[in-house]
Amino acid sequence: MQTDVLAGSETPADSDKRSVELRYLTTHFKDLQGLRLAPMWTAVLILSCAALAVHRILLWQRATAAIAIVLVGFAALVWSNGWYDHHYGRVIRSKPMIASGFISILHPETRPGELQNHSAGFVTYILMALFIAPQLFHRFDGRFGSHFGMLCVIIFVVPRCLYSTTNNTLIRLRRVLSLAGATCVSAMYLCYLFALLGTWSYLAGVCAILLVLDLYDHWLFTRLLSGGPAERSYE
Amino acid sequence: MNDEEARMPEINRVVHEPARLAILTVLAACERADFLFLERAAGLTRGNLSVQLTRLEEAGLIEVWKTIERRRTLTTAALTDQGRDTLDAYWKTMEVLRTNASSSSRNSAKATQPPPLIPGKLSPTPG
Repeated sequence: MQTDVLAGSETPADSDKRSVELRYLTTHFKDLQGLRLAPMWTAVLILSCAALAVHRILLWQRATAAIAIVLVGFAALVWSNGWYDHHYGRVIRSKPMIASGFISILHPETRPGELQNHSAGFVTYILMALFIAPQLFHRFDGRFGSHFGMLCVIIFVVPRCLYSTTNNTLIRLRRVLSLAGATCVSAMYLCYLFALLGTWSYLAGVCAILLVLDLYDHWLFTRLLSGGPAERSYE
Repeated sequence: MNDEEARMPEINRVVHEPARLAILTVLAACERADFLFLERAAGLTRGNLSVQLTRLEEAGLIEVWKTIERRRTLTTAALTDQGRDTLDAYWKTMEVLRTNASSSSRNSAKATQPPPLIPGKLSPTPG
């Protein structure tokens, strides 16, 4: 009888594989929603590339760019929160992923219980906006500008390296990309400190890496969500 | 039914169905999930998911709440303690079955294996 049951559905191995994917997807539900901050990285990246193309940028142009980035980033965050909720639903996590104090406070995925949805994401964004905006009004220097990249790595990239992975190749690739991204930003940080890299190049590099990581996260999110059998139960 | 089949543990039929197993797996990894996420994760239509949730709720494996939020009904589900125990027991059963299957296939492979050839000695040809 048992063999008939097994023959009529997925094999245990397949079922287990899908279960692993679903567990990871559910546990990292918010973490994998990479489009939340992607518009902000894109805006900063475009600004950096534009600044690289133009030799001299006036103060009012910097001010306009700073305001535009803050507004675009904030609007995108509000919109993406609603969009994800509307398209993919909601999951209330049972416990925080990382017990470490600093990362637990800052990372949007380490919020306890009911408060997890949006508030800490906004706090994280405001921290980032406050960090970027003043830099656009003043001349970048090693003291503040270089810290920006490392702050991004600590808040957005390091937690991805700390999470436990599974045997799934795509999930492992996420960690590999995160480690590679963290290494690249650290290398760029050193280059910037030793004046081997310009300010705008540094900023563009950091934002490009964060954008790639976030886009991969979103792709993985949709891939894991649609990876299961579609409409097989008719009982 | 031979002895080997008689020794096999019984599979929980409520859990051993891909869509229901997907629902239980999702709920086991979180405190609560809403209807839309379960629909996407399990790959079911709304009607079918509703049927599966009712089946699981009747079996006492999950709890379902319906609340009104922004003039819309928000359906959320959570795994009960019984559901968590049942899911754990299911995976243990599957592991036992997997072990039994692999050991029996190894035994049958040994039984059908030809006798080892002695080097330098030709096997007798028929006729």
